Amino acid sequence: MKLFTTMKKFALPLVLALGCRALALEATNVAPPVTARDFYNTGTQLLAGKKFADAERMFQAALAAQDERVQSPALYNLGHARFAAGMELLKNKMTASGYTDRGSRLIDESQSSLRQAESAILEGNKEKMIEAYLECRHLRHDLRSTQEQINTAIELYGQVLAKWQRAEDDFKSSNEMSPPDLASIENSLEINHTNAEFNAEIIQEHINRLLEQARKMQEMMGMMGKQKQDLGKILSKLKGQIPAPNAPPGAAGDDDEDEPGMKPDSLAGQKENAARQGDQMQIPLSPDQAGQILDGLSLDGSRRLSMSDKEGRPPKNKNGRNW
Amino acid sequence: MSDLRFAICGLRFCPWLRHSLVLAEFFLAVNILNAATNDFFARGIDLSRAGQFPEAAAAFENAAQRQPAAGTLVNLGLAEWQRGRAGAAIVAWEQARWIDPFEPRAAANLKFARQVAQVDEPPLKWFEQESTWLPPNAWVWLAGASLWLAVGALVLPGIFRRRKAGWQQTLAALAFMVFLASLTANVGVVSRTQIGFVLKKNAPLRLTPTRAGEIISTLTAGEPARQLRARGNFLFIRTTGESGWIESEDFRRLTDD
Repeated sequence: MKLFTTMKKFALPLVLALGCRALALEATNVAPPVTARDFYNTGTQLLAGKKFADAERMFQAALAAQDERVQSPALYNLGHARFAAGMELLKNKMTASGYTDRGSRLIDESQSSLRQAESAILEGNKEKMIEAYLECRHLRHDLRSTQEQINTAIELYGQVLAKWQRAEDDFKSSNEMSPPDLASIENSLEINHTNAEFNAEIIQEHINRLLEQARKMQEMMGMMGKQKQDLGKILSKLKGQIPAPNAPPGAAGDDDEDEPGMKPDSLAGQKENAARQGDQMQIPLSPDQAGQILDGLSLDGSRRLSMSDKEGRPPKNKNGRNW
Repeated sequence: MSDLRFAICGLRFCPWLRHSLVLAEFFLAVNILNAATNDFFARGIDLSRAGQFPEAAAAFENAAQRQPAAGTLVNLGLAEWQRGRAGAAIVAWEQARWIDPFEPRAAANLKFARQVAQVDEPPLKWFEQESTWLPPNAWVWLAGASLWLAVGALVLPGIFRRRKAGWQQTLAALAFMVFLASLTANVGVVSRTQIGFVLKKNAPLRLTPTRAGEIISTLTAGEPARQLRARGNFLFIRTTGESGWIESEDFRRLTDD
């Protein structure tokens, strides 16, 4: 009876402890992927969760395990992951047509500004010349910033292109890797190899479109570069025509591109960081602490230099020159 | 040859004459083969002297296929080296050393070629190292002879109803030791058959056995590797640093034709 009472007393904490342990095990002891199949399954879950980079790594690990049963489906999903990763890179970015439209608009505007500037020079109207100068300068700045944006976009397209080309090859490889004896497994995994071929074709179309857009952007870059040169020429021409007192602000040295960033004189007036003012060592030390530190720094006090047997003998009388 | 074969077919009722003629045909065929091999070899030498190395390599290869010999393979390696195919040259010289481990020219050429091409020797395990001391066939003969010697030294005195002498027992023990040593060497020979060399310069090593497979790295011509398996037109190889798939035409094993 006593035993039963004791057991009853401890039963609830015991059950609670066991329950907590079981929950903790479930939460933390998720087995890491080991086999090719594990890597494939984890990769598929990550792909479904739109974690494309992680999924790509998992599928690559599955492929590296060299299990033939998993290779074909892993390649198929790897193609999906890479294609989707490429799409993700393009997400929320301005389209190529956006850049080209903006570029062509700027080119149109700069051409009309060029015409205005030339007519102002012909007329010899200073006010118009100043107006045209400012307008051309502003447009040149816009052209430059748009060129930079297009450059960045082309670099991004290069990254996307690399991903998509790899994805296309993955689909092709998946198709190539489908031996007849694996057909049953692949059917169970609901992978149709005509799908792989079809996907490869679709990616090829996307690649072609991307290349076409990149080509258009490069053409636009060239046109904008030429326009920028024309603007530069007219700006220097205008600068020669406008008398110095009437010159707009910044006209004296604006032939070159106004590089973004800090100019040397802009550092004037800035203060050094408070932490570097030389007060770091103002740490209060007690005499005992200072003594300990000094003891620590002493040079092996117990050791002495070796003594020769000529100790105490006066130094030799040197007749040489005293340096 | 065809006349002789016709005569053999006609002699149905004279078995001993028929057997003699079959033997004669065999020796004749061997002679013809030897003559053809010698022709290819001599042609290869002439072409090498004339500086026509691709043709010379083809002639030596024909000669080596008909009758593998260390000298032919050394010459084949030289012709390949002159053609600028370091991988094929290294394979030829390694094959020459496989047939005759005491071939000094092959060893010297290999050392030089590896220094120039910046490739390593294939890493060998201890039993593989042991197997390089003698030609592969010699190990088989040695294993057989030592086993029979050990068995003979132990059993024959009993059969002839004689007392086993001490020297007989020592001989049996020694022969058995040689047998055991040759067994490991034979295992080494079998294991070494998986070793091969990359033939093409910058041969791609792929993650999957497909033409569009992801390239893990590129291999240098003459780089050693072990072939682990094959799938279609691809071989799965393990180099010193990594494993992957290579196209079968870019890789040749020591024991390949």
